[in-house]
Amino acid sequence: MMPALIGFAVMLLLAFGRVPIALAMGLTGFGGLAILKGINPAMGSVAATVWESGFQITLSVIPLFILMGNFVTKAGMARELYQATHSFVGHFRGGLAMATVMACAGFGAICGSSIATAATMTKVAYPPMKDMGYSDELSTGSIAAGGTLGILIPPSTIMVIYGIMTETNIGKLFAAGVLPGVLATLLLCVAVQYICWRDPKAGPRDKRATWGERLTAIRDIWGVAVLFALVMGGIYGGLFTATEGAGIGAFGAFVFALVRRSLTWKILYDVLVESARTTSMLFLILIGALIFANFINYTSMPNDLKDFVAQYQISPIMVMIAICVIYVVLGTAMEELSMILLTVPIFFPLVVGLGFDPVWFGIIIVVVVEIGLISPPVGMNMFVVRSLLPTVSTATIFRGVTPFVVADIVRLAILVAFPAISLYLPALLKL
Amino acid sequence: MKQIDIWLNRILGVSGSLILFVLMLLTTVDVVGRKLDFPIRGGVEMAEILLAMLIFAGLPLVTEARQHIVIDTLEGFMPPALRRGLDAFANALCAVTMFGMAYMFYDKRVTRVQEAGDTTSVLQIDLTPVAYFLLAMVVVTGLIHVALMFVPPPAEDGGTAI
Repeated sequence: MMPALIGFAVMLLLAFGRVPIALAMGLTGFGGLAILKGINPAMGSVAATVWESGFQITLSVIPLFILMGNFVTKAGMARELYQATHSFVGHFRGGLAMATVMACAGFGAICGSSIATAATMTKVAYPPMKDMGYSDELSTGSIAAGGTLGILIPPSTIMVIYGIMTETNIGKLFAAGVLPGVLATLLLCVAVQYICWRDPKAGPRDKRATWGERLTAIRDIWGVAVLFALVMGGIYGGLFTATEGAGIGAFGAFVFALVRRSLTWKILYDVLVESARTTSMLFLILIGALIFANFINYTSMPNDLKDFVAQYQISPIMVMIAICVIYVVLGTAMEELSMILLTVPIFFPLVVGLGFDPVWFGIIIVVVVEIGLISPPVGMNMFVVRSLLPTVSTATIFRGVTPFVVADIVRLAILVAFPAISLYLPALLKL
Repeated sequence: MKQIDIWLNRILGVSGSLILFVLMLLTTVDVVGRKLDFPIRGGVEMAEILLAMLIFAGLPLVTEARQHIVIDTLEGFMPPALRRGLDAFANALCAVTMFGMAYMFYDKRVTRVQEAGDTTSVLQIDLTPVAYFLLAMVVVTGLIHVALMFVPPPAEDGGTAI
């Protein structure tokens, strides 16, 4: 236990001293391995991790899904999605905010990033809500919270990373995210209704769209539908693997962006370079996390934790609840990706050892990350919305997301209590 | 210095984008081709080499753009001089780490690939130049960290990808 704790202390010290989290993990992991196993095996292990992370075809799923997300962001497909959802629910109280949440869910089906979903939707959904006289709290809160659906509804960057770290099937994880995504959309709409019930002026009704307008709006989202059906249908129809699906999806998104004339040479170059940079950043973190996990797994810590739980006869569900509480608390102050990378090597063996399903735990991880993304003081999604809307204060956004954070915590409790919501679809698809 | 920075960005940016674009096309053509009984010979191993090159070509770019994820939770409470000092120290440590990683990678992997004359299984592509390319990128990244020691950190830290 002791070497692992010292390792964690050193790593955190480095990380809080402005050393990038990837290098803090890699360096500590290497140091720990060198002390425990000797310098030569440690060097060999690092060199092998570096080399093998590069040459694994399955890992090309990361750059390709990132590229797909960046292409659809540029292709302007979010606007049609918003118009379609708006035409169906705009006439309800808080209808534009519900339309925003639903459009976010739709966008999440072709984009694997929460940040990108929130950024895209801010540009599309905020101006109409402003024009209708929606309160800034409700509009920014619904965008920031809706944006988190990007990583729950497949494809999802965080599921891919979890899948690679824990060797869990990415196809199963994607399928497991669908029903929780529907549940999340519903609960976020309930939160909108609650806000408008408390303050009817926060979200006035728009005029009702005719069925003709609705049909036109629905027809306009065929691009999104085709792309989703192509990628997910292909993966689950057994036509190709998740990795190949990512390639097809990126190519499809590229074609859409091209046909819709949203690409200039400059934009194409920016999209590619941005995706390449994000890829490198994620891989360096992945390499660091793998080296650190090598070290942690070499210590007695994973077993000690299991013994501790066994010795005190803590019931598995109590352990799970404790883990969720730790995540929600950590998520308020920590950057979410580093939180996951630091904790999964410890929690995963424990959770699986207690008999929980690794796919289900993956969904729980995604949900706690979502909560972290919108819980003050440190929540990336709020910062993204804030950076795009200079006139709205951070305090307004903090107030705005609060009801949505509550809705998300309710969802977390439901998903912990009923694993079937996550596991039904993967079982149905016989994955 | 400025000139080196601009050229480095241009060269690595263009190569990174090209690699990623080709990786996308290759994956698509490979899948479609297989369905139509026209598989690309060695498509998988070409994709693997492209992926490795993409990851490492991007490293200097992320570092130069300061996009690495840094925990900055406590920095609101820090005097600017302390933050500046920490940043210089962190970059020094990163440079040492990168050079150390380069050494390990060279000693344990590159030399072995070269001596064994490792090639891919289908197309027999020589992996030695690829290994040297990855090594060079790690060294360049270390050098960028050295340069960053003398540049104050931006007010806001780099973003995340989730």
